[in-house]
Amino acid sequence: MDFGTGVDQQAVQAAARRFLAAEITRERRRAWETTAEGHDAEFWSGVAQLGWFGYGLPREYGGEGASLLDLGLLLEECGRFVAPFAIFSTIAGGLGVAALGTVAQKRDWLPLIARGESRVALAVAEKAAAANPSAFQTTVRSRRRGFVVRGEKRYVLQGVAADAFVVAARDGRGVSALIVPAGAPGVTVVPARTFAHDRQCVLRLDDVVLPATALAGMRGAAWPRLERLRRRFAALLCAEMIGGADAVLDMTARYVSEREQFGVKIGTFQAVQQMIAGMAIELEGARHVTRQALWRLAEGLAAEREIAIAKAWTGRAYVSITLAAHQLHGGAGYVVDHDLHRYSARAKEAELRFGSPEEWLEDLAGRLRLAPDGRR
Amino acid sequence: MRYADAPEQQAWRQEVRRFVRRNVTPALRAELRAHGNEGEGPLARAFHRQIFDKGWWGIAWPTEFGGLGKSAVAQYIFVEEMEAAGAPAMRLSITSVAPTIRRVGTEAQKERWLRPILHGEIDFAIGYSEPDAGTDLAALKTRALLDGDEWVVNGQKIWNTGAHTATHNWLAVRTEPDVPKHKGISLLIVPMDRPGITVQGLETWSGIRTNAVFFEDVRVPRDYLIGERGNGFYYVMMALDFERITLGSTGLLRRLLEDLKAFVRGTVRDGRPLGAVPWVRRAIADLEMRVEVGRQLGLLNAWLIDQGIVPTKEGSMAKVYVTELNAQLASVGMEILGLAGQLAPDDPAAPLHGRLQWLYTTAPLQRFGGGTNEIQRCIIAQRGLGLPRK
Repeated sequence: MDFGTGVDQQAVQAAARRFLAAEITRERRRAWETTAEGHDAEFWSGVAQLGWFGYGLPREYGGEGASLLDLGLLLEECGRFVAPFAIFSTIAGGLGVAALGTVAQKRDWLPLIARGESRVALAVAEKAAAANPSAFQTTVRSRRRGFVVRGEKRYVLQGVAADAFVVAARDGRGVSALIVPAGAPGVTVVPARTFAHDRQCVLRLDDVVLPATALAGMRGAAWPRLERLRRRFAALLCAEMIGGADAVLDMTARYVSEREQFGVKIGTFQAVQQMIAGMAIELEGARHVTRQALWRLAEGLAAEREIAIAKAWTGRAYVSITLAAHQLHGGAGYVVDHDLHRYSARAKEAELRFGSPEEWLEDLAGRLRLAPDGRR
Repeated sequence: MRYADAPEQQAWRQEVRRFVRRNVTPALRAELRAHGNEGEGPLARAFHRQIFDKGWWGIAWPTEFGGLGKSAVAQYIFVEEMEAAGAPAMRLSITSVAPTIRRVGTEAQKERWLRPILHGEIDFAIGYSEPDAGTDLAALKTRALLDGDEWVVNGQKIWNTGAHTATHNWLAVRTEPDVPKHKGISLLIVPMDRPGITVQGLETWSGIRTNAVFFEDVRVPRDYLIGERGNGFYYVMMALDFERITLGSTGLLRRLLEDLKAFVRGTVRDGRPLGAVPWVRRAIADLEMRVEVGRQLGLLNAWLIDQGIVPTKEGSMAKVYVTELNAQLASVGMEILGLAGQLAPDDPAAPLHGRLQWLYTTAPLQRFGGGTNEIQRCIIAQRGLGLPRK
């Protein structure tokens, strides 16, 4: 066992922290709220110059080949500052192309993504389907030497700013993944409004005609790899969450140590101390089940059980920590001038994305083979 | 970073596992259940002798004291595997008293006490609490006055578990009556065969016997006072920190959860396999997650000790979390067992030998004992997160 981070890992985290602390000012955040993308070009190119978008991408396509664990440590810092969620979704889009794409697609997209010049968004979930491929209504059919895609994808992260989408579509008995350019005829992007303001969209695909080269991987065989990706994104999102939860606990401990009522600091009240301790325990557990899952992924070990535990626990923990923080901050943390609500909304959205705690617990129950004949 | 046993830890785990597989027999487990804490039966005594001969009670101890000189993580692995096998628990003499003597005792005291403790020749009862000094331990009144070369002890201890079988008592006493209450306490070793000691049994809900112990002009040699006079309160806090290392182990919970899963796989209720009932599946998965979280917290605590850090915050976190989880696993587990969950360990029809029912009745003790969980949370908030004391 070794719970410590290495010198290189600490350096990456420290550099990220310095950058985000300096760049994300209150005024800038306010300005970002009115933009379509949720950030500005200067910030984006700053992130790109630090190499974050290519950090986890293969070296042969302009990336740095960092492990999922190292990527997670970087995302912890993004979570700590509730940095624009576009960073997470752009990194996820790159990993999606790297995992599903053909060599030609990777050559086309990954260097651009790594440099921050292009974005690919993943479009999997639908109105009535998220994790069951046979429930997908979006379909792909062959036409001449290409394909036609039809359907509607929802909750697409950063859809408004995407140059292309990785679309999962039902293909006969299986599921195919296709890369759909945002500018293709028949593609419509409708912004969705979410309570964390993270720029999601609805993606309408009205008989979008695509060349044969749009297919990512084998026809009808994308589902196992999409599921594998979803598990990885779930683990990475946990890393974002523990960074955020760490910041919330920190700001709350500071607040109750300063705020006075009845002539004393409210942090002296045992009721307050009990809550703070509960938050600290939830976070410490989340930190280590998350890093355990990412470490196992980085080492190439089986991690399904650990990811299920990480996402179920961390989702709950982050939500619970933010709600306790609201209780302890009272009105001071309730006004939009205070950043707490940004963490709280991000926490609840993250809990729902890539499988909710209850869904992951059911996944975990299946792995425990509780049925008498060893079935799930 | 590494979230798995290192190769030498893996080998150590296998060694412990091989040993317990061979030596923790159904007969030994049955004897442990029958004896409760009424001293050791012949099988437990033989088992402990083997452990002592191997030096395994002193895993994290320097070799000069007869230990193995291994890490705290190695000790955690040992406790985890012992618990998982249902082996007899580590004694507090080993996990709490001995490390304190090693830290604060004089060279002569280390020479005098450590080896016999590690070899099981001396066993301590822990005498901190008094009727009017529980969580507020510094309010204790039992006093020791120096008379020539001997301390004379007068007063009363309560919850002095094991006093009726122990050879010695590890006593917190007031030696300096005229200083602030935290600064007037010392730690004194009192052999139980001295005249003037009366032990009165107290039966508890779980069946564990504890004691009220009365001291009337009990005389002990001057150098039985451990460490410095007046520092006893801080030594007690240190001893409790050591004690919490083993409280943070999830080996027992892991074992009970595996047994519970086996029960679910093998049970049909109302014509339906339990493993197909949604709330049962959800409850088991939830426990699987919670036990894993507890394991991480316990290991983190041990790992920090190996880094030379006194993990006050993390030790308290592990204590609170794991003891709360004990109560929860017992309660949810009994619900899954259904009406059979209420059967006591001595009923032959009791599933899991009644261990969940047993855990249900011992869990309250774990939550309020060893420093109540509420006090632990205050420690986490104040010492871990810097919240103000006043």
